[in-house]
Amino acid sequence: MAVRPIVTIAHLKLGSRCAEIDQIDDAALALASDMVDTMRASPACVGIAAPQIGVYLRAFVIDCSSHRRSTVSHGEFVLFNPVVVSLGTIAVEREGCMSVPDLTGDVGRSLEIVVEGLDLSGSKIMIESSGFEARAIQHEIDHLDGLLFLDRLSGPSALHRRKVYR
Amino acid sequence: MPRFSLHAIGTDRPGIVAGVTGVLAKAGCNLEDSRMAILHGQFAIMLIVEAPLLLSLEQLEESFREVQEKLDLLIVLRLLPEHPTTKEPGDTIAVSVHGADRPGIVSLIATRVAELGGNIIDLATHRMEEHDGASYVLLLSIETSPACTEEILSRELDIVARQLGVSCVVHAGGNELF
Repeated sequence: MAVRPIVTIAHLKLGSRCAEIDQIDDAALALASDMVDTMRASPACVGIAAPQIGVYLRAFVIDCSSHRRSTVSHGEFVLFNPVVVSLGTIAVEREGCMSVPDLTGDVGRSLEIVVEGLDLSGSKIMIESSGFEARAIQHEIDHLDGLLFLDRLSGPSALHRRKVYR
Repeated sequence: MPRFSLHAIGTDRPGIVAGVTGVLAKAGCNLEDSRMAILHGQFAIMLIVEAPLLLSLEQLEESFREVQEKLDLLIVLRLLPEHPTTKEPGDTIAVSVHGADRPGIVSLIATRVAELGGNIIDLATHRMEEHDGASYVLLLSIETSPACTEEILSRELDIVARQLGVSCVVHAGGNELF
């Protein structure tokens, strides 16, 4: 449908927990479509959460299938109202965010995740993932709770400048 | 043995670390703690060295003259007190502040931390220029005290952050041993 501008930290609504989506109707499908198009517009992007395109609802899209750090991948998928069922052991790795253009950080996240939610047809699905994709899922769910990777760093030394792809 | 602090800054280019540490090594100094970083294209060095017994501040300053000119560095050396006032580090809390850039973010947050008796032991800021303004990130490590716990900091800095219109998250962590 449309590539939407990415909302950066200067403009993100502060500390806001995004609202649940009542039903998977045309508006929800349009949101999913816009998230996919926006993700596809940036070659290095492996996921977008709804608040990053200015919609404060609980939805995200992920596609880690072509990422070099990915070991497990479910391809491209959209998840509405995601709920974490279980997490595993924590590992620290570097990650970045479309909403924080110039920086990356060393973030501790679970190596495994089981997450439930609704798919594009409104059916309840469960996704079991690990490694890079599990990290991406946790990163996107954080967005829905108003958190960024910056809020999970152990301190200033975990923050790094990165090359910016404009 | 005498200890010196060295602060150096200059436009970033290859060879600054080699040049500075080369002079120190030649003078028989042992590099102890150090932090180096690039800030907006300027390479900044802070370090502490243990020096040979008879090396004076003036001699060390003199030995830096050539490198200082060649690399266009501002270098400041200081002799440190013989008995350093070091203390055991306490538990630390991480604080992240981010949002639209505006004057006073660091000052207001740091002032509130100081009023609570918290000790800032590490700090980094980044300003990111965007097409319609700029965003700002401030990260802090704060040493806890009875009057400056995670709960108190979280409550008090949230008030300051709301005034500034920025986001602020306080979390403990990094104190576990495995």
